[in-house]
Parts: sequence; C-alpha cells; structure tokens
Amino acid sequence: MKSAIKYILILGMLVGISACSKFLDRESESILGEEQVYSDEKMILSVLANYYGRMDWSQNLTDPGSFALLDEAGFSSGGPNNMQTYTDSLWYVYDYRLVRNVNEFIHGVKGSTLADETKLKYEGEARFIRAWTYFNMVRSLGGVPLVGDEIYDYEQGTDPESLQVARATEEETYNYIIEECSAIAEIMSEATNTNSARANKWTALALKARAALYAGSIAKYNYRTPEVKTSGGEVGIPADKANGFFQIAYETAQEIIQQSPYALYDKNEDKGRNFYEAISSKSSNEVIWARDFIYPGQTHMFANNVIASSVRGDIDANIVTPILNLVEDFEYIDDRNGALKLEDPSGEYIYYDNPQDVFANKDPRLYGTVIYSGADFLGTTITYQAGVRYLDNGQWRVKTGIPGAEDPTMGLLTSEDGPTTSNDQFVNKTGFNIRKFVEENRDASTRGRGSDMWFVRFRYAEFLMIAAEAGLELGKSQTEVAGYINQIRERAGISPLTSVTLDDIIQERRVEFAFEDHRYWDLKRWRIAHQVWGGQDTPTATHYALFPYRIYAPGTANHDKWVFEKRKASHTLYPRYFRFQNYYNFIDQDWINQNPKLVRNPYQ
Amino acid sequence: MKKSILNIFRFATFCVLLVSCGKDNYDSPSSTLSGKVVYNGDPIGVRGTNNSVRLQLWQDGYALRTPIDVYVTQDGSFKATLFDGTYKLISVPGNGPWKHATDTMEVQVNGDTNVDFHIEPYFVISGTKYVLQGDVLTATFTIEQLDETRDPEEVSLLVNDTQFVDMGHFTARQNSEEKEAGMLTISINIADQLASSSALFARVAVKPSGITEAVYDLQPEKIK
Repeated sequence: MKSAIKYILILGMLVGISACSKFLDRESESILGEEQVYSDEKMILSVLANYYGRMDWSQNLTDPGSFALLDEAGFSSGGPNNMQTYTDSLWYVYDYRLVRNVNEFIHGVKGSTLADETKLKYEGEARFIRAWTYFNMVRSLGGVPLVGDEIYDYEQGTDPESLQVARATEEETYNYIIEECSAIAEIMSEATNTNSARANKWTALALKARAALYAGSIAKYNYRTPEVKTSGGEVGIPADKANGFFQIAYETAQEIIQQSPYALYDKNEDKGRNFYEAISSKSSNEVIWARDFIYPGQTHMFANNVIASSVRGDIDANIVTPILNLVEDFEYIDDRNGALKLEDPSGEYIYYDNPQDVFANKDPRLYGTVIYSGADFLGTTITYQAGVRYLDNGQWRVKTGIPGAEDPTMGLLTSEDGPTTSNDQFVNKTGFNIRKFVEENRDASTRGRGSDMWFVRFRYAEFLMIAAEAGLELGKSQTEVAGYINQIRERAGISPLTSVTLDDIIQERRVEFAFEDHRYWDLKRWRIAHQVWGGQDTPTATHYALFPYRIYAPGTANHDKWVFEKRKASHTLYPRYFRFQNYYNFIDQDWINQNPKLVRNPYQ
Repeated sequence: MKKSILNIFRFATFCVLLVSCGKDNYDSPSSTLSGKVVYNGDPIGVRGTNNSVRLQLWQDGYALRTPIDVYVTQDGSFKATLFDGTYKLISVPGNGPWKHATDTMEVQVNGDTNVDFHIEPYFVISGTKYVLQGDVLTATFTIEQLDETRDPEEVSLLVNDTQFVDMGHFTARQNSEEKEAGMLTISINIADQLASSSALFARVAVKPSGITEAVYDLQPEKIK
C-alpha cells in the first residue's frame, strides 16, 4: 500500500514535468517587438518624444545654474559663488547611446510596413536628431568618431577593435553634419508644427547654416590660438577652408530668410513687449525649433529659480540673476555706448526722479530680456532699492536693512526685491531679474507645478545674423550686410547701422541672443573667449551689480530721488577665467579606456 | 539550558562577523616621488594654486591606462605618493610655461625617490630685487627670453597678503609698459595694502603669449 502511494506520487511528478504546450516560447505581452513599434505611428511618435527629451545640453531651462557661468548672469542665492575656472568637462556631450538609439530607429522604420513617404519623414527627423547630437559633440569636443547608420553588435569572439572607431577630424565632423542636413532637408516636411517642437525641413537647414558658420569661423580664427589644435586635425580647421564654409552658411541662411514660413515677430506696438513675446510666447511665428515643455508632465524649475521676490509663487527666487555687464551692453536707441549714466564728469551721482529713468531710451530689447528697477512683471512694478542715502551733518551715509525693512522716519530701507550683499537665500544680489523665458503665470514659479515655457533653439533672427556675418566674412557689400542686421535693429526699435564690422556682429549677438545658449559657443568659435574672460579684474571678466539708493534729504532738491551705484557683484568672487584648455573639453579617460583609438585633446 | 544554547549561538554569530579573509586588503602606497622642474639645474617658479600647472605619471603594463596628475607647487617642486614601480613622467602640452618635450622620462620609484624634471621654459627670471620706499614698491629683475616664438604678453609685479602670490591671487598688481627681455623695473604704490594687511608678499611674473601659465620668480618676497 505504501509503495502504491510512492508510485502515485512519482507518476504525479512526471506528469507535472512533461509539457507539450510551448509555455516558455510565448510572445511577451508586455514587451513590444521592433516590428510592432515601427509599424504604428503612435508608437513611433512616443519613441521620438523620448529622443527629443534627451537633448537638454549646455545652457537650458532644466539647469538654471547654467545661465550663471558666463557674463550674462550670476548666482544670487545664499553664499558667494567661488567658481574660479571653467571645468574641463563643462557642457560636453558624448552621447553615442542616443546615436545608437537613433540608428536602431532608422533601421526599424526602414523595415516597417509604413508607406514609403511616411518612412522618409520619420527617417529625416531621426537623422536630424542625430546631426544635432553630433553638432553638440563637435562644438564641445572637436572631431568625434562618425559611425554612420551602423548598429554595432558584440558577440562572443568579436574582435573589440572592430567596434573602436577613431575620431574624425573637426572639419570632417562639420562636413558630415552639413551633408546630413542637406540630405534630410530634401525629404522632410516644409510645414510648421505645434510649438515648433519637432524638426522639419527648416530646422535641418538652420542646423546646416549654424554648423557651417561655426566651422567657418573656427577655420578663420584658430590662428589666434595656435596651440589649440591636434596634429591629426581632430581639433582645428585649416584656414583655407573658411570661405567654403562661410559660403554654405550664407546660402543656407538666404534660403531660410527667403523661403521659410517664419519671420521676425513684429505684432506688438510696444517694442519691449514685442521682443519678449517674440521669444517667450508660444504664439511667436519667429521660432523655428524649440525644446517644448507642457504642463502637466513636462515642466522645469526655471521660473521658480529666477523669479523676482515680489512676484514669486513659492519660497524660491533669485537663484540666478542678470548682471550689470549684460544690461550695459544693450545700447541706447540712438547711442551705441550702452553704459548707464550714473555719475557726472566730476564724479558726483546723477539724481533721477524715478528708478526707471536711468534706463530711459535703452534698447527696448532690454525690457524683453531683463527686469530692471521700475519695470513691471505680472502687473506688479518691481523696484529694486539697496538702501537709503541720507545726509548726516553734511555727510552722505547709507542705511540698509533686510529686504522689506522700514525705518520710522526714512520709510522703506531695502526693497523686498533687494539687492543686498547678505548671504541670505533667495534674495537678489545684483539689482536685476531675468525676464526672457520666464512665464507670466504665477503658478509657473511654484515648486509643485513648474513652468512649461519653451527653450528656443533656432529662430528667424539668427539667420539674418548668420547671413550678415557670413556675408561680411565673404566680403559682400556693406549695404547688404547692414541690411540684414538693420532688420533686427529695426524690429528691436533702435537706430540702424550704416557699416558693419565683426565687432558689431559680436555686440548684436550678445544682446539679441542673451540666455539662448549662444554666447559661450560664439566666443569660442571666434577664439576670443580667453580675452573676454581673461581671469583678471577687467570690465568683461568681472561681474558687476547695480545698487539703486533712494535719497532721504527732506527740504533739499534731491529728496526722494534715486542714485545708482555700479559695484562688483558680491556673490561672484572671481573674474571669469577661460583658459586655452577650455576651448575644447578634455576627452574622458573612461572613453579612452573603452576606445584606445581616441586621441587626447590639447592641454590634456 | 535553552538560554545558554541561545547565548552560544549569539557568540558564534558575533565571532563570524569578526572574521574576514583579507583578500581585498591592499597596503596603501607608501613610496614618495618628489622633485623639481628645473632648467639648467635651477628650479622654475610657477603658479601654485588652483591645480594650475601639472605633470603626468603613466604606468605601463595594466589594462586601463589612467594618468596620475602631479601638481607643481609655487617653488617648482612636486610630490606624489605611489606604489613602487616604473613610471613615465611627462609634461602636459601647453600647460606649463615651458616647451612641451616629447621625450618621456622614465622614473624608477623604489622607496622615496627624488628626480629633477628638466624643462625648457620660455623665460627665466633672475636677480629680482625688491625695494620698498615709503608706499612705493619697486622690483628690478632680468628676463631672459629662451624662445623667439613666444614674446612676453604680460610682465607683472604682484602683491598679495598671503605667501601664495600669482595671477589669480593678488591684492595689487602693476603691469609693465615695457614687454621686452632684459632688465626691467616695475613700481607700484601699495599704500592701501600696507595699511590694511598685516603681512605682504611680492612676486614678479612673465606670461608668454598663447600660454595660460606664467613664469614667476622662485620665492615670493616678504615685504611686510
């Protein structure tokens, strides 16, 4: 009886082990195969959306601190910032994971059941993303390995050397980007799309023009930094290639100017508002490509971090605030020297009736870029007041307090919006706030919601500037070159130029594209970054702040008037210091360990 | 009875925690490599702050090759704590105020080792004399230019309130109008610094064009 039970048990076990349904060979119900993904347009879109979300590099809204590293803004919140030099890895991009993903995407779309025309559209979009990735790599690292459409596979026994690709030269890398853009511009849609969030023919041409301009100016100006090159050409472009690149930039910019559906935004009578709307309103017809955000789901903390105290929606504010250097670089409507008039020739303060009077007749673009004392935001007039200057026995003295502090006789001492030199968190230290890219919506500055303001990557004005710069380098007539710049200056509301030099272009790009991730790359390609940010106490390398004081002197003519003090920014301890080694980031040792064919960059 | 068994187990568990097999324990490196960057036997002064000037040590024979950065201090000396072995010591192109030599220097580190790293600087500063008369500090020195391709871009007299004096750390600075090799004199009024600082140090520097780093005189001079 006992043995019978044993056999019954054994039998039961054997039945349990045997199986003829292919239980382990089932199709997964939670993982989609390549064919399933690339034959469904909704799936394709979600894959693309993932790629678009992986390109927040260098200055961008998800990293407000990135705006404080140059000469546009400084850190304001908390203790002083003690950055001395630019790091060797600042803003570098080496994203072959994304390149590989794009190549898998292209492979998948090509093998799908979609109509040929649809396939081409998606292929073009993916190749644009890849070209943009390469562009971000080459401008930070110099020439990088070009892997084309290949998807590398490793199987046991594969010689790893076949997976290691050497760096292309800087020139070859730019040429590759330009060729890719030329090719995909032919197959991509000409139509605009919602919030300019996706690539089309015009973004491809825009990237082509910008890449060609960068390559052209590197070729022309790298004689200024003779040490910044490698013997194999991974860094540095021969000077005789400059004109070829400028020609491409010039022609491509022309094509965008003449044929694209975009134009300079000019819809608001108020020039300052108009400039703000041109960049920071999603209804702008000027923007060719932007990193779009949407609430709920895709938001960033830019507004939260940079908002002025009196209009903030949460506790955070003033983490990054503009510096006086930028404000003074905006010209006056009819005077090219934008320095604020703070003192008369004898060194005596100039007294202004209202805080905003010192900014009267400034380039209206200043209003659209920066909040200055007396300007409005969200319906509130923002007044910066560092303290009160009062007469004490014939001597001028200054009294300050914590933000919002009142004195029984003199009234408000220091404005809620600062500026101060204290180490308090979220208190303004420079006397300005950023307006560009700050959403006019109080909820956007709360931690819980965040802002869904877009970040503009290409806009029409840039191609006027590229046409002007490339035209200038190619020796086109001054009338033609000035014509392009003057379209921008006219839209801005300032006097036109009659003649144009490279310095005028440097100046125009500085103010037109402030906070738009141009400045750093511009100074690098012109090879002047080491002079502008020389690390010494010079007007361009040191950060300055503007401290407004209200006058308390009852019975005198100057009572209740305003004076302004230009002073070194208390919270940027060291002048900006761009060393020769910063022209190209260092190649990570980690990358070299994985690919010994990578050549090191200069100074490394 | 039950309790004592439990205690035995507790003790055993505790003992197990104390045991380790020691396989992952290496001794830390104990040898030091020290030395100076020298030209004709004389050390060269450089900027000693901010990790500015560096040499690199490489070691062959391992799968991953990562250089060890060796930073040069103000008086041209450097020091690294290493394992015994053979290393290659090189200069970093464009980093120091000297010509990059492609020759590699092999260094055998065995216990405490001292080497001189020979370089060819773009300039040599010699015979520096500081004279403080009243509030005016005057430095007289001779610059010898060793490479015609690099002219002096900046010649400076620097004053700081600590003994670290360089182009990033100074409270007073005067650039020379003359930027030629030979005998130079720079004067600076340091009345403010004399009044506010309890100690002051002075140093002169020549920065070659196209190179970030400058050549300094070897030791900052204490002037107050």
